[in-house]
Amino acid sequence: MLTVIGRRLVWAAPNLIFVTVLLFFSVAVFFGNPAALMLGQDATPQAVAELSHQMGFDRPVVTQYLSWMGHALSGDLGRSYTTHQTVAEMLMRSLPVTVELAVLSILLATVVSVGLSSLTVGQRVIGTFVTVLSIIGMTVPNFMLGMVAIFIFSVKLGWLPSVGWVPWDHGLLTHLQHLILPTITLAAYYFGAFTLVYRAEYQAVRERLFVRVARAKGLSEHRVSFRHILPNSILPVITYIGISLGQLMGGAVVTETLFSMPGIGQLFVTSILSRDYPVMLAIGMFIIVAVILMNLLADVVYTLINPQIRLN
Amino acid sequence: MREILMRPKVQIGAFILLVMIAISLCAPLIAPHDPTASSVMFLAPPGADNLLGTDELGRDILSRLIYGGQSSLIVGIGAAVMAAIIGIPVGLVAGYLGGRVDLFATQIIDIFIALPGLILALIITAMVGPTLFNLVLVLGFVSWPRIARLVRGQTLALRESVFVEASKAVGARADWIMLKHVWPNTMRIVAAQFALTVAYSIFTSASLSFLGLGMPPPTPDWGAMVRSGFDYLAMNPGMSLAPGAAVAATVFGFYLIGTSIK
Amino acid sequence: MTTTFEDSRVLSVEHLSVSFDTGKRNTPPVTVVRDVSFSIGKGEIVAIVGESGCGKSTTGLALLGLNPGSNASVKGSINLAKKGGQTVDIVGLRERELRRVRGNDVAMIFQEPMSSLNPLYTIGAQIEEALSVHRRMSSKERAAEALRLVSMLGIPSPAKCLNSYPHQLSGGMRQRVMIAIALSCHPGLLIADEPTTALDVTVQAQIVERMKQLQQETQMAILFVTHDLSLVAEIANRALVMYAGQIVEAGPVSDLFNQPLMPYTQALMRSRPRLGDVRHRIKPIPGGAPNPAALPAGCTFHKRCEHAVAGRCDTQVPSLETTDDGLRQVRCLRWRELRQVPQCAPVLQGQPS
Repeated sequence: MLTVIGRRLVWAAPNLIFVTVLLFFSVAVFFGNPAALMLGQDATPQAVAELSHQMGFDRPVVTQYLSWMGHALSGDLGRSYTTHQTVAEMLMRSLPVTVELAVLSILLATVVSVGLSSLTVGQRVIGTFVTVLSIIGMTVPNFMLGMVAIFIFSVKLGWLPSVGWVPWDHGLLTHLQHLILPTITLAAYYFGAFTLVYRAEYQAVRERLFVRVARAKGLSEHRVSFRHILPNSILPVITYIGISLGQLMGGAVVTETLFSMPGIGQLFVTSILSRDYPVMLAIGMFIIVAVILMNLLADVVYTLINPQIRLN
Repeated sequence: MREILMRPKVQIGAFILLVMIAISLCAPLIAPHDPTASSVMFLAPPGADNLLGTDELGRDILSRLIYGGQSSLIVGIGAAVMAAIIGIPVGLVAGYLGGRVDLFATQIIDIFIALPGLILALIITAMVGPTLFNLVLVLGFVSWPRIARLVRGQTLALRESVFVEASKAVGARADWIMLKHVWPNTMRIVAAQFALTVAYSIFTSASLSFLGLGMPPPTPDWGAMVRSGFDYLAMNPGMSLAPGAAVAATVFGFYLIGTSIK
Repeated sequence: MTTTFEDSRVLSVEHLSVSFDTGKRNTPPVTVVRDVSFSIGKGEIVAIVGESGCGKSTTGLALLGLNPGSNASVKGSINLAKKGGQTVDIVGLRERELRRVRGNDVAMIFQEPMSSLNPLYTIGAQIEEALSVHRRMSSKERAAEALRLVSMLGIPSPAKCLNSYPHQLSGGMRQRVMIAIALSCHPGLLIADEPTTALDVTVQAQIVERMKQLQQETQMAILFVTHDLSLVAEIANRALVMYAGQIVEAGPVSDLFNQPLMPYTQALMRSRPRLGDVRHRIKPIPGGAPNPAALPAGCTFHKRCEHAVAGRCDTQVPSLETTDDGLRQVRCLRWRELRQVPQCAPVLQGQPS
């Protein structure tokens, strides 16, 4: 088993290097000389050249890459052009917001989709209703869902606030109250995806012989559902959860923007729009690395859970 | 083919799409006003002259809604075409040649599939700038790996069965039959993925516009309309909700078609 | 290990019919089991024999109330003797009562050992689960009992087996585990649905031996569903031959093999290959099993029967008649006439015809 994990790690390393190099080079090529960006359009070529040299932008790209990676691995991610804080600081501040939102959303999506599906598989009317709900969750863009949610619950009913995040020191309940709408909005897509996968798997597992054997032992339908069918159907969902968490590391972009949440996604978009090169590069790298590592983790977890793979 | 058209899912999806496409094509005929003409009557509530009201620059929202479909559909379909142009050949080559070529291609495909599409699109659009053409390219680039993977899988299966038949010395006839049956199946799977790619591209391009990286003004663009309408949600909800619903409906239509051609 | 019964019968099935809804409108439900009646005494081994699709598996499933789906409708009565002497009718029994009976008074083993066990749990966990449903034991006692059951079935390294997962065991071992699970709560009746079909011949022999041994020790009744006549000869006391959902012949195994009365049974006997008899040719039965949704008129076997008489066998429906000595039953319009002519060699002695 350790060899399986080891092998996956070994394969992940070249992937990481490849993608980070690609990102670095693309940013370097497309954004041109950051010194020019920093000094603005009226800067003289001389001033630009001087700043370039000072900041090391005139070195060959490969050297720049290695230097950046070296700094990054020791914690120095540069300094933002716009806010002049260290990027590391900004990252650390926005990371918890995103992680909290991501984890809560996935949790909600999983519980609702698995629970709802397990209880309604085989029932035609409710089952179809759940399927339709999941399709809506997947096809309606988050900004639309969020907008409708804000319109109904915030504007019309006034029950919930439309801003997604307040600091913890405002109180636990207030903090959670603000998180309700963004969590539901973000969870909708994953609810849809998980439901479709899970239902299909559940229906397939239900037909398998060991389920009939379990009934023949005299087990109640309830026990058969939750101890035999569910554990076997949930395996693909678990892998999907891992992948989704990875994607959400930077992918909650739309939801964070809609609900004005100071997470990584919003930081990323702002840095792009304001051409804040160091922040953009660092966050971009972070997101890509996080995605690849989370996928790896999901793989490993699946290997550990499934005895057929674990013990071979 | 006829059997596919009989399924209710396909019929609903096709109906929605035909309506959307028709509206977009006939935009100049249907739209009551010029979508880019600003006026002093800004933020007017829905009324007889402006069925959905006007936006913050006095432009008629309904006309912008009608015209907005054009860019969404062009980007969506264009991106899917782009993805197919890159993905199908890559998949074919990888599946057919196998060996190291396949290994290399699979690695690249896997990496790109793992990365969240919106993030990738954000980065690249930021680099090259958002124009209609660029958006088509970017979203096509984001989507090609999935198509490539599908085509590769089908090609591999086809290759194996042809070899098996050959080794059974049944003769050329069997191979031809295999191509006659397997290839149409592959086409169907690719067509389904094409529809899903259009859905995904429209979804993503709307998100990009919502974030501020869509088509530059004054081109009417559904995602951007949702964004600007957000500030006035209490005053005129239709300003945001209408374009949002339009995106949702279009995505839904393509999704239905994509998931029912199996 | 022995249980006492007041009534010497363990199972009495009367006029059992099972039909399935096709799900399509305007088509009537398909009847897969038609008017089947039989009984099993304590300690008896009864075999149900027939080709695939004759309804034998469906009959077995009905005895546990396990017919799949909500589109199955079961009519008739299935009277099962419970421990403690009462009898209960499985047909129409409420789910809660059914659960008390399953595993406890009647147990079942299935054809596919490869997929009969949950891949995510250890063997020990699955045996102990069966024990926990009907028997009150502490977890230590359960573990010990699981070990005992597994050893009793002849599994080598029983402790290691308990800690293994299903995919680590061979098909033969898995089937032994299934038998252990089935026997764990000492049911009075075991239904074995083609338990050895998916196994190698040598493993098959071992399993059958073990089953015979266990049956002798526990005096449990067994209903053995199979298509393999040699197995029937080896293990069963009585046999019921099924065709197109009905019983077409029934009786003690030796009588059945020595002098089959119904042409279908005769044809079945003749279609088996026999070792040592070089001159005897295998005669396959022409045609195929009838579609239960479109049964032939008259006797359902007449189209494939070499003794069919036009005008009689294709119009009259034969009923199940009992022989004068009361031991055998036949469903054939011509069985009394045909009985006069010797049909085939006595099977059990292996003499040439």
